[in-house]
Amino acid sequence: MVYHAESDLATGQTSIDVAVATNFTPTLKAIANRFEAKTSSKVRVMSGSTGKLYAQVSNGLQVDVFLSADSVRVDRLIDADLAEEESRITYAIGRLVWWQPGGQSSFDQRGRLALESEIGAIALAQPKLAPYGLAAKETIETCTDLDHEHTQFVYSENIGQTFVHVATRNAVGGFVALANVLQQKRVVGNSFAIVPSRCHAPINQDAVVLSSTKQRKVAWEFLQFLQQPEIKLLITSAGYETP
Amino acid sequence: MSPADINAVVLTLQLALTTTFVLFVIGTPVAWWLATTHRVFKPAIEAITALPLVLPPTVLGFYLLILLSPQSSLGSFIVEITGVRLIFSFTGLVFASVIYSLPFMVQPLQVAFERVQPHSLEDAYMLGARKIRALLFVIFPQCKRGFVTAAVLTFAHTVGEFGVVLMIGGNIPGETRVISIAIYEHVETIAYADAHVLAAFLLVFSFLTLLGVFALNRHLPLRTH
Repeated sequence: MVYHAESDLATGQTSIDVAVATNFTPTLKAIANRFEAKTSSKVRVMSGSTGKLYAQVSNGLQVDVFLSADSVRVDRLIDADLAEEESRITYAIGRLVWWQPGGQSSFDQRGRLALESEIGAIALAQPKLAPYGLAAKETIETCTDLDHEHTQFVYSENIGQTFVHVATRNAVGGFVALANVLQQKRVVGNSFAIVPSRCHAPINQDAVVLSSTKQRKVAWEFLQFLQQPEIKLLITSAGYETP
Repeated sequence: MSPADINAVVLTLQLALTTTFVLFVIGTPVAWWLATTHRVFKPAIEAITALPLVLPPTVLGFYLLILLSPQSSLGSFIVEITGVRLIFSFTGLVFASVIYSLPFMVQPLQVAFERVQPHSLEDAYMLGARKIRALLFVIFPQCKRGFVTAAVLTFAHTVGEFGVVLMIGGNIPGETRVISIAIYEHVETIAYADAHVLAAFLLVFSFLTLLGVFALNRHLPLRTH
């Protein structure tokens, strides 16, 4: 769906379209509500996987702001002159969680996760597709003894699907996003452990204003709004860190 | 094509062939029953077999994830009896594909069977043939076209499967990483050159398959007497 954010002549209201990575969508909707209340500009949220949104934006999807789940896609958009470099911010830093229902759920003092070798299927997001998947792969390599010979790794296209694989017990355990865990506290209970940050490179989630925007002012305002202390608080309570 | 992609092509063909064979065995009696029965609940069975045409693959994928989970009674029962876990496995993909492609086998066959005059069977009985022999040697040869169409549609539909595999496959090389998943991964990781090779292969392959059927069907009579 291609839609141009333009002033609504009848009301004089402006609106922007924001493309956002799936994991951040619920949080963004809450933020968008506050932004709308404060500025009387409207925010339309389009959610999808970072890779898909990136492909769509580079092929002409008209949106004003892109909230990626990584920093690589933003680099590429800037390199291709499709995004405004000066507008770039890191709006959130993702936290990875090990979740094994009814099982081992803590990292020892050395920051390692000791799991039995024949544990069964372990779920993670596809490292090539999802930043959280890459972080999970790094964690498996640096902070666990799991290997491909003894463990079956099952991949999903995004971190939300990984959550489903564990929630339905089709996988014994998995690496999911803290944001998902907090959203589904009732399902997860206490059987999870936050992965120590030394186990993987930080999951920087970057945002940028796109060059094709017709609502440049509002788009920049929106990114600035994301860095307000009260919004940072909201982002932190949703399961992310902020820079 | 990289070895991983060749692997995906081989796996996809294996999946499609297995599914077609299984559905041939299951679908033929179902289609025959539907073509010949007059029972009141026939429309209900027809509706059920047509459901996969209407429902998005995500519905099937979602239900299978829940139904076949080791936590569910069905899932644990299957693991106990067969030792095979269906989610994240080739067997699971066959299972899902059989459901997903069911109408593509049953409907062409049902149409073909319905075209056969009922008296063909009676004639055969009169000549003393047993029911099974009558079916095999009198009825089925008249439905060659239906069988070819059903088999090819089932095969092609399974090759083109994506949503269900995405949800229950787990993207395991050599086990569940089929062509459609490999293309998706290439596109998402901006490896457009690799995506092009696989996509073009699939396009040409699908066209040739369908071309083959239509050409063959021209030579197969609708019904032989």
